[in-house]
Amino acid sequence: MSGTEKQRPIVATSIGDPAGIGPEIVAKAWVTGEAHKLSRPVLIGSAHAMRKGVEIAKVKATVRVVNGLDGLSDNPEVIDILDDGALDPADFQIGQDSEAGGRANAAWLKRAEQMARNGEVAATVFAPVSSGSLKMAKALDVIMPVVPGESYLLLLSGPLRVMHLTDHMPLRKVCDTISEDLTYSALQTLHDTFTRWGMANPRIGVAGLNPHAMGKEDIESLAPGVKRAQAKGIRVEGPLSPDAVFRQCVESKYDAVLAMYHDQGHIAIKTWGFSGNCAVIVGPPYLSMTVAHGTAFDIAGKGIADHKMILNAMRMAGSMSSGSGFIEEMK
Amino acid sequence: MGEPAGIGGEIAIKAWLERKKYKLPPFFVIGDPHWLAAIDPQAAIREITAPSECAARFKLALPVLPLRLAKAALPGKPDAGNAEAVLAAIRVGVKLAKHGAISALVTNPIEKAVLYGAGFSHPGHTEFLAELTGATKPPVMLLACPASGKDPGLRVAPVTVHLPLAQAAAQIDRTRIIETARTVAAALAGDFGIAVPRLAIAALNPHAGEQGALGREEIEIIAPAVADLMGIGINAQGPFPADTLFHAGARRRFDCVICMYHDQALIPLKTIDFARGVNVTLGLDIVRTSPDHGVALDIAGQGVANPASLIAAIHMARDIARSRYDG
Repeated sequence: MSGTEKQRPIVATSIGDPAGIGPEIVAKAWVTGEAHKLSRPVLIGSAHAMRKGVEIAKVKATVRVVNGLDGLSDNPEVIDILDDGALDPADFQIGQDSEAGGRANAAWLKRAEQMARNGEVAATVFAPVSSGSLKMAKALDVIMPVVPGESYLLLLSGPLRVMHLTDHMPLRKVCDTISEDLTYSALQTLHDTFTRWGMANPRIGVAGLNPHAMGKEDIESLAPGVKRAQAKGIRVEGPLSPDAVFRQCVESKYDAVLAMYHDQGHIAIKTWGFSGNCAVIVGPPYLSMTVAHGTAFDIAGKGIADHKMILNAMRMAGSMSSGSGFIEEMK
Repeated sequence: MGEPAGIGGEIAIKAWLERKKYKLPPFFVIGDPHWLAAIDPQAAIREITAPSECAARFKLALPVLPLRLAKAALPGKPDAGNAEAVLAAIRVGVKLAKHGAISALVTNPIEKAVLYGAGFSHPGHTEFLAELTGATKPPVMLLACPASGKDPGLRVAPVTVHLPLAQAAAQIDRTRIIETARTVAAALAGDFGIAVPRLAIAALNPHAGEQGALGREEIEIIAPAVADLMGIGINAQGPFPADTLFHAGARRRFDCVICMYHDQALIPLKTIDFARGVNVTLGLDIVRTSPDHGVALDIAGQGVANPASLIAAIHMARDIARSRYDG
């Protein structure tokens, strides 16, 4: 590394459910060395499960347990992992939910979050966890809920970047939740976060709530919220016809879309790029990223799972958390 | 004709110019020949007095069944003085289709705000056509994007159309879902040549309500409607989380997605392909399609309008008419 280059951020990736495709795709992603170019990667999880992942993925790498973040290896053939013994290797089988896997993941998620909160790591990435395992371990609550006004789900798929004003909420409740204040506050958060990540003054398109953005909420809540944001110098337009704004973002008229509800944004993202998106929680001061796919128990252990999504998440986390902006995904 | 101040005339002329490339069947415009000539003075336009003359004229000129505008149309500036002619063009088209003089009617976009000033009182084109044709059941709007290359295309039909989201969510109704799905299934069989159409029924809430945690409409209304549909022999499945239904793999598994509200249907359609969406009205006794875009007043008169959606609408009208009338 040259002396003038700024220190690469430490990105901690948890290996996900040990019975799923997490360990094998993390192994494949790791040995490409691509995450190392943008970050200093470290894993959180079970060294045993990870060795199994290396074996399944048929890659050349040594799994090395580290006790802290000093002296992480730059060699992509050395996989550094923080293993606090949370997983008993005897208690899980590839392809199956397990209480042990759920308990271990709860511990790893907590540790990752703590390290990010303390500033020890710049970003966290989560390989897929199994809600079945977490349920068995009575630990479903470790999955951070999104609270409108505080945190928002952002999905990234190439040029399409969609932040959701509301998330897991019945559709009828969405209509009552939308307000001028919430719109304004979300736009401020989106603007500030993108600027921090290295995309200064993003152009934001706000999707309307109603067909053609011509309903009561569009006029009474969204439009004034957008106006207030514009007065603060935020580059934002809307509310725009929800059926047009996502395509306009794909065509780079906007850098991001503020979607009103879960399906509005998810339909656009999954229609546009089903096989390539990652999710970020916007709001907390640190960056926390997950991939869109699940544990894929049906193909776990076969070594055929595609690692590109997790690799892109690891690369993106490195780039964004160091303020270097969004990067092109590797195909 | 559609709104004469919009892009309708321009895309009709462009479609005629590309008639060979896209193998378009003979079509004619119901409208003012002066209006078309003003849009493109070079265009070959030929007045006809009856639809029966269309096929012979079509090779050398765009046939026009004349219907005079009261005022000269200025691109981008709709004139309420022409509202009556816009409505008359639709009435003439419906009458010709009803009498069998034409196989199908393709309608160019209208500017409703202008028509309301002239006493038009329908929420949209579709409802007006339902009245003109004397439809006994509410027609269903089907939106389709044709397959191209590896992309399997997409068909969606919303249960509610121009309703604010809160009302659409509150008015989700078992009977309405069943009626929509029945109309779609019958039309896919009769008009699209799909013997046993596979219908996916979309959920209303995120994750299809997650067993009631994120809304109860799936349990109380949509799932019972799906069961009823299966009971009457319709291949319907669901309710599925709406965000899982529109990637290419899912679109290969179903012939149409029944959507619960406007944008659930329109977002996937327009995110896939802005240019070639087609709007088909199901449940009428005439064949009617239209391009799935508006009057585009902002670009009217500049010569940059894209005829792809109108061309796709003409193709689909021809295909439906063939299935329906030639069996």
